[in-house]
Amino acid sequence: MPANSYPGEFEQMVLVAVLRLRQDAFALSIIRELDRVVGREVSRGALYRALDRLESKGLVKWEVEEGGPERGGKRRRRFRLTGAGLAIVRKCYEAQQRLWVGLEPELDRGTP
Amino acid sequence: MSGRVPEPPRFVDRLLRSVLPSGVRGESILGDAYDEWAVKVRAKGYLRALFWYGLHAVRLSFGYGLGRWFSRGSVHGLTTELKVAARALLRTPSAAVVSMTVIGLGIGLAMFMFAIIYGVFLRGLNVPDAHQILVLSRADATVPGSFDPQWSYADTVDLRRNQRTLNQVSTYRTTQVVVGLAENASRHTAALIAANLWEVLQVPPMAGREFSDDDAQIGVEPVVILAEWFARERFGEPRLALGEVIRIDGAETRVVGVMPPEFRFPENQDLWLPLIEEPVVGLRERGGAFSVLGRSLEDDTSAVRQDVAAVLARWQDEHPETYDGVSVGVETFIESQTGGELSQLFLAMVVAVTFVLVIATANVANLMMTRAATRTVQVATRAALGGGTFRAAFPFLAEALLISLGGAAIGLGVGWAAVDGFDRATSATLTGRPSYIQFEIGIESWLFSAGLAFVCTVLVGLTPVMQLRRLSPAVLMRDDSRGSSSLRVGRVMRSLVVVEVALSCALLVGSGLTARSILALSSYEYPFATEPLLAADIDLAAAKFDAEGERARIYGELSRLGAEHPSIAAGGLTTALPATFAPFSDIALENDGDLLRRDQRQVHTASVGTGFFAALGVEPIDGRLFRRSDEAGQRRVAIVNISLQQSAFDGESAVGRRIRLGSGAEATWVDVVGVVPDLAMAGFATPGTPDGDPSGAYLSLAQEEPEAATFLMSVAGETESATAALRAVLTGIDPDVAPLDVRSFDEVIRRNSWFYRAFGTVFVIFGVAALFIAATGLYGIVSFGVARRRQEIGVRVALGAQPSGVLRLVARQAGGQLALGLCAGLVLAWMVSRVIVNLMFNVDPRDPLVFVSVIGALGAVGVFASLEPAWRALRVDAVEALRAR
Repeated sequence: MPANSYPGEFEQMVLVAVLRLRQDAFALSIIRELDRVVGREVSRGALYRALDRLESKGLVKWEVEEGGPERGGKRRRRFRLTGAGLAIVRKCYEAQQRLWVGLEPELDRGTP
Repeated sequence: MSGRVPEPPRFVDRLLRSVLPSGVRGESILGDAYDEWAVKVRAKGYLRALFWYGLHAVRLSFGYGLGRWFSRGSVHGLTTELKVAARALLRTPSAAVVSMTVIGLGIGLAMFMFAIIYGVFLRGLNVPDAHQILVLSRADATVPGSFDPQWSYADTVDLRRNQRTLNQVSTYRTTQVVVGLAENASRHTAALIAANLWEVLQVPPMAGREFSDDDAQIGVEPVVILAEWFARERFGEPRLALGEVIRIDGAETRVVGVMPPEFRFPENQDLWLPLIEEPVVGLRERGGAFSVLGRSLEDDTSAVRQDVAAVLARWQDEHPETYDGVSVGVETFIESQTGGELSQLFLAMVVAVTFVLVIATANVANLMMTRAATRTVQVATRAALGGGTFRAAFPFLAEALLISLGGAAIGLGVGWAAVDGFDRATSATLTGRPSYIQFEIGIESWLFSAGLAFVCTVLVGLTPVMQLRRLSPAVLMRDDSRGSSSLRVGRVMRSLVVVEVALSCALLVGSGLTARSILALSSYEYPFATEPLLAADIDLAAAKFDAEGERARIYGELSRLGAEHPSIAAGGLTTALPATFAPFSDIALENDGDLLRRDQRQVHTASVGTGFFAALGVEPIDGRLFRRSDEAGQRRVAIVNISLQQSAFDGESAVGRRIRLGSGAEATWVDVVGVVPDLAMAGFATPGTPDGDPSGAYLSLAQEEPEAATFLMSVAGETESATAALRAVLTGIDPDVAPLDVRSFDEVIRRNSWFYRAFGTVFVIFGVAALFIAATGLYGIVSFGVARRRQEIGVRVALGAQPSGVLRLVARQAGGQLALGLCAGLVLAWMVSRVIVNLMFNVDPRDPLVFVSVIGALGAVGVFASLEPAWRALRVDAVEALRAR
């Protein structure tokens, strides 16, 4: 990813959700987290695709964990941010912070 | 809840596995689906979880599978695949066109069927929140047949006053009125409606006002509300009609409102009159002509049911003789209007169209298999290059998509033409089709056909894919043109063709039977000459004719007309024309003991004047016809038809015997004075059913004085001069009496038999489509067989096989499926013929001619379909075939 570009809104959300979930960042929990925290219903296909993209960009990686009998013994992937992923999240956060500075009066007033 | 959760269904798993990536990536996604499945089963139960899982799999396949496809940027993107598929189809244009036509026929007919069902059952009444409108319908266990009387006026007053669950209850009665005078007179359908009907229907007039309670009082100025088309036709502009006075049934009536164009409640009403609120006195009548409806604000109708049942129970306590056997139903308006026979008919059509669509899809799936079988090398090469079998087989999905799209386009054309044709064949002027039934291709039909095209794509495209997926590239490579047994497409195809032949067989028998019934209708021999006959309605329902003897006087003068005017050879009045369904009446015979109900039966009855039989050129078989002296105040007389004499009098002469017609207080004893031939009193009701029983009796019109009758005349010269003569005589009698709806007898027949023609034609079209489709199916399989066994045939020819032997080889292929399909099809056909018995006129549902012709036709199609491939097989060059690989 070029130094001065940012991931899209959805990818940002997925990255933050992975970060928030720490040791618990499985696909299903990411979906639930996004639903719970930002009220966004995410289709599973879209999430898997986003995770694939983030992985190919080197922002997330995953490790395999053995699945229980409920899953028919199927293994599952626990996602984690890579160093680059964490750096991007931080960069996005800081960019947002800077963008918001000085806008409190407008936001409080409620009209543009 | 804990415990073991059942595993998700295997076939969905298979679908998922085919789109998901291999390795841990795919495994973990599938595992997630399992986890979610377990949660859903616990929370919502197995069935709902199953539904969710299926839907989820489809969404995941699309969202993930196709998305991955696009985003991967691989050598073949979707567009490339489509281009390749288009090129492949163009290489064999005839096969592509046939496939598209077959799918198009299937989709078009399904769309047609959908438009019909939607138009009749789902579209509903054109009022706000139509589902809230509930009709309180009356059923009477003591009245046989489907013509239950509705409520009496007193019933409606009581119901409106005493029910508590419906929000607003109103009532109406349909009727016919004569508008205008002399030459300008025309008859219109009207409804007498309670003032609060507008509050129930919630459709305000587009101009003017609704009825008020004052309009419903006795003695006030008569007012009317017109339909938009009627106001426009009479006054040019709906608004201009307001305040004008028009003559309705002899009374000057002021127009106070005009309804919007789409409002024709309840059926095709042209105008609405206020129902005059009369005080209810005297005995409760048993049944009447009033409908009761209301608006329910609850979805649950059980409270309404209980409420009206309680009202009825009280009536039954108070007047047991009037309400014995009566029950009340609570239905939506559409339910109350459509039921019984009609539903069965539509069920038959749905079955027919499902057949066609299944056949069409099976067939194109078949053709796709043929393509797959001859292109195994291509698939294998792609697979070997690392595409995965699914991706390797993707060209078939792409081709299926193109074929389905082409098919959907053809289907839209076919569907549109069919719906348009059916709409005309059942036009309101011909059939009196109510305005809430409309046949058109709307947005719903578009969505429906899009859905069908999608299903076709999936079924047609996945059939070969699923087959090819089982085999490894190495096997596929070897398989090409050698017909290796490892490619199992053959078995699937064989069963598909058997199903196909069976379904077309059943459908063809259905269309053969309905076609025969249309023929039977056209060649039906009436026992009288229909050519010179002309019918005109005379309506004397208006209050001004209520005076004692007034109707008898007018009918009497009309009866003389037949004898006096040169352009009219003979003429007479009747309440039911021949070839129309004459109403039923109870009949009992004298000396039948104490006339127990079991001895009573129903026969058709009509009141006819002197001159009626003469107009038809019918002579009595026994006894005499009616005379002028058979008038009111004289002994009441009847003439029976030969069927009634045979069934009720065991063939002995009925002349001189007495019969009782009608029931209850209206029953009368009459002397039988003559016997006439059967004059189609059952109309076109299916012979062999109770309605179709031809037995009937005629009463003397002069003794009955009905409110309306039809003048039937045998024209000696020009039709116009006969009509003019009739009109002149009627105007002389009374300007409010005019000949209405003058029509030839052919038109009478056309209006009464449209049902068989319209629905029969539909079945014939379905049958022909099925035959075309079956022919392509058989051709496909035989042709495939030859293509696959080219090498084998080459070897046989090289070893000295005779042409007859090769032909036998090819024929055996088609023959087996044909025979098996025909056997299954005949069983199916027998069942179908039971269902469509209502569509048949004068045809035996097991008509051997039809069954034999269908077997013959399918056999011929089988032979024809095998001819070209057989010819190709005969020309296989042994050397070339062996060298091919």
